[in-house]
Amino acid sequence: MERNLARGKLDGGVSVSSEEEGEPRAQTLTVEVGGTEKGGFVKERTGSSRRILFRRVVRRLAKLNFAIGEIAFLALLSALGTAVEQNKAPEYYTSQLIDGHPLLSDILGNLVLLFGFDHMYSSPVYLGMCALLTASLMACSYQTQWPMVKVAQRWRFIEDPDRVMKLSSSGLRAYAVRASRPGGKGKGSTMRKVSSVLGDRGYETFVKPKEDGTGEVLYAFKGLSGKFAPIGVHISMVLVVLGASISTTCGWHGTLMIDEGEEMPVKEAFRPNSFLASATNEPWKSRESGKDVYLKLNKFKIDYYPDGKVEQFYSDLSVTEDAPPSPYASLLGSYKRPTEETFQKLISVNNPLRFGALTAYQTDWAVSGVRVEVTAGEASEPSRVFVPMVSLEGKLGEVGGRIWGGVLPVQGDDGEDDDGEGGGDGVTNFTIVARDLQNVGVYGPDGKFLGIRRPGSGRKLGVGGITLKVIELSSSSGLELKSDPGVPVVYTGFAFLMLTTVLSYVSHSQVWAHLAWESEGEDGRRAREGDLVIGGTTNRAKREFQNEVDQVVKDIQAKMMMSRRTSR
Amino acid sequence: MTGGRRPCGGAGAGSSGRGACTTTATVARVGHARRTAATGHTGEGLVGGRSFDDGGWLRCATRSPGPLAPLGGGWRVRALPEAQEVYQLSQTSALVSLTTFEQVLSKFGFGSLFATTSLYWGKAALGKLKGHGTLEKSTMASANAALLLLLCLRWIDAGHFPLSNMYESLLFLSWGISSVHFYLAYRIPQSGIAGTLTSPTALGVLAFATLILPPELQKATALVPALKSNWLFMHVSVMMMSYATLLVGSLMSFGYLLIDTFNNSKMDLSKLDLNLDLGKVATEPAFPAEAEKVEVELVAEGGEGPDSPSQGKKDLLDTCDDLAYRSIGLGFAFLTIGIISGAVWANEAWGSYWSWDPKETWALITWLFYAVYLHGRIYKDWTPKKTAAVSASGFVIVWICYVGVNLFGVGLHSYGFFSK
Repeated sequence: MERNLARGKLDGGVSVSSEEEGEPRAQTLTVEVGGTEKGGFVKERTGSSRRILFRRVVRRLAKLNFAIGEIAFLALLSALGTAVEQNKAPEYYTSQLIDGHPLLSDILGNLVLLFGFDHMYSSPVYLGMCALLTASLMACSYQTQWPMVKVAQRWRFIEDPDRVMKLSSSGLRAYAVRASRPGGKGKGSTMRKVSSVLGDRGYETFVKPKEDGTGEVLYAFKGLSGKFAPIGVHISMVLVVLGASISTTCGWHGTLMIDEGEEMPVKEAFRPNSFLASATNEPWKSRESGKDVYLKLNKFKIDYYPDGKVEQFYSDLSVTEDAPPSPYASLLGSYKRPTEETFQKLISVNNPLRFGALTAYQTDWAVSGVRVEVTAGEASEPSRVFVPMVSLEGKLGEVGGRIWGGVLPVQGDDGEDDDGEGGGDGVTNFTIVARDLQNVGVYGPDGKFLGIRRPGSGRKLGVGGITLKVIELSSSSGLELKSDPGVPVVYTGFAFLMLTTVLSYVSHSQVWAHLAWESEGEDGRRAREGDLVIGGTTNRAKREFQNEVDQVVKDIQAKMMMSRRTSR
Repeated sequence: MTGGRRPCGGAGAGSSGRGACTTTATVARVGHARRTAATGHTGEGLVGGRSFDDGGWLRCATRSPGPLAPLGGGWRVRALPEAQEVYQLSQTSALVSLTTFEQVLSKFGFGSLFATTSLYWGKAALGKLKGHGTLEKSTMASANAALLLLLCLRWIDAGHFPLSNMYESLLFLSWGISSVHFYLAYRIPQSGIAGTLTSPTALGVLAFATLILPPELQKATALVPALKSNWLFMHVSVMMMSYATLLVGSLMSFGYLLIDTFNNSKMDLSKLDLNLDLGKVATEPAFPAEAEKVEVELVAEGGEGPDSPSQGKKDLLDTCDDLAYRSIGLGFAFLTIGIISGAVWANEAWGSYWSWDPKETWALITWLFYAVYLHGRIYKDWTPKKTAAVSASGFVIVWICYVGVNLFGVGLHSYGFFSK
């Protein structure tokens, strides 16, 4: 795959194909590329002063040490953002930033507020650094990486054997393989062996005779993707930043709390991320009918593990829209606006509802009330009532966590309060509390604990003659609404980023070989093969490459031996 | 899934009644007695004295969902998998108990790693380390296999991917480090130096998991809703592999700094590995019998031969540098995939691919940090020693990202097990 990729780049780029292998045309090509580059450069130099300034800025941004500084600073700011509590009230920073040091807190807190580090990741400093880094990424691609691609696309032969040998000085590998009578079958056989050994290891090889006719040279490379991938990494990151900008400006968000059986208009829950959002899209509109849609909660439920822990939260949701009014609506006196269901889904955490551009996530829930069956006295008929419950979270002192409660006043049928303490005029107040949908606690007058019941268990509890039966808990589901047009761009960036980072691991290796031809015979026109010099370099995996070249040399040796044996 | 292991139903209601009895009749106390037991006095309270029965998901729900600030809100506590581990730790009621076989496996893995470490260090101390020996390889391989088997057993046992708590993720980390060891030993077989650093690290991680973590925290626990997704496997395994690979890379840089510092006559670490006169590898002809027919000559430019002491030191340093670079290159790719899979998962589950949660932020910091290292390597003014120092300090960053965020309770992640 890697091989094809490398070849593909080569083909697509400057139309050098492997058929030209060994022909001197490659040399001409390099000159051409060099020429245009230089021409372009000169032209820009003579341009307006604004262009000169632009180029200077680009060059500054593309500087490696500058970019390293930006990355490091961004990392530092991010770390600071996790150390300083975010999104607190200003008083928190000035008084309690550092516990027990009011003066220090005052100084540092004011600094934090000054730089906006109380909301680090949306502070001008942070966003500015992100923008600067993005500019650097683009400048580097334009200024450094792209010219490097152009250079890498030329495949270059080294005609001087000494230069091949010198490759070893940079900690890489070079060998001179001296064979007393290599090949033995005339010109070309040795280079073919070298070429096939390298080819077996995934190299693209190019062989050509030297211009002066004193030998043959080979150039081989592999892992060109490793050379190009870093540009891809930079471009993908720019894409991600672009997508994130679209998300923050053109998206919509909102939260919706729906009671079971209720229907809520989506449009009213949505808030634009910025003024651009309202101008671009309307995610609450059905794509098919163009009507505004509603979300209806058919049922909310929680699944529990046997030990009582939450296994999953489910909301059975319907997307509805206005239906044509029924002709009988006025006759029946229906005050309800008629709607029809267009889509239905059972959502859970990790499994949202998607409808057009709108996505609804399961994020919250609440107990909205409890349905109980009350029997006010032995003679009375049981009647079902719904007791609305409100959240008591944080209102009960040391008791933490989520808790809901509601009060049910019951008028006893004998008109007398049993304890004489409940209500004033024969009313008994029941307090009903719930932590979740599993069971409810019931208290009688004076906070007297009556018991805990599972909804639907049918077991009664009561005070005096009044009995209660808990039928069911009614709940509401909290949904997070989102419409994010930046996601496709971000995801594209993500996909490319993953691909190119993996490809960046590939090491770009190049191997050069030089085979001398020695003149033979009286006229000096016949030639036989002389010394073979082979060497190479790579940009990443140096030790692995050394091992590879060692093995290549061994293989070449072996091939030479084999051919000598057979020719004998 | 795990329902069959325990009698269903009654458990919750039963404890409820008991809890209620112990509390005086204030309205609030009773609500849910399992919690009351934890906050109160029944004595069977949960580890850490607090309970988080609602799970990360509900805790997030308790924050007021104010308008999301563009790019910087962070109003929600999200249960990130690794963070969730710590939350999971605080729950004692495990659904699955450790089988004896699992314990045998973890002990066997521990023993193998201990043997590997002893072999590498013994050989290095005696100056007899030559690449990776067969014995070291086999002990490391058996440790690797034992850990893998252990993880697989737990997977089958618990019915979900075994990365839901600290113990399992440490096991996975230890397995990951030994796997990275094999990758390096295969790609760069010249030097056993990698083994002297990977084996004690894997050993240390496993020792912490099996010896220091309390037994009740080693039990597999049920997954909370937020973790019930196929992304769990994808995201967490890749993240853990990236931690393992990056840790090994940073260790190699640490080794570089050590060798660079201690190379005087009293203590010369540069003679650690005798296999490193690299030139000799290829000078041996493939067919010795016919060596006189075809000569292969190694051109050793740069003056000094491979036997000279400074060349030996340089070779060892270069090898460390190369091992570090290759590991970090791989770890960086893993980290990228891990972060992105996490972002995609977050977008699928919560509707936002990035929300500046401390865990997320530290993953980004780690990514940026190693990006500095990777760029520093190609920056001409930075010496290899300087880049090695950068990458060696990455060791700390990775640990902060992995456990530190939960440990220090930085930001919104006060799950409470470690800090309280």
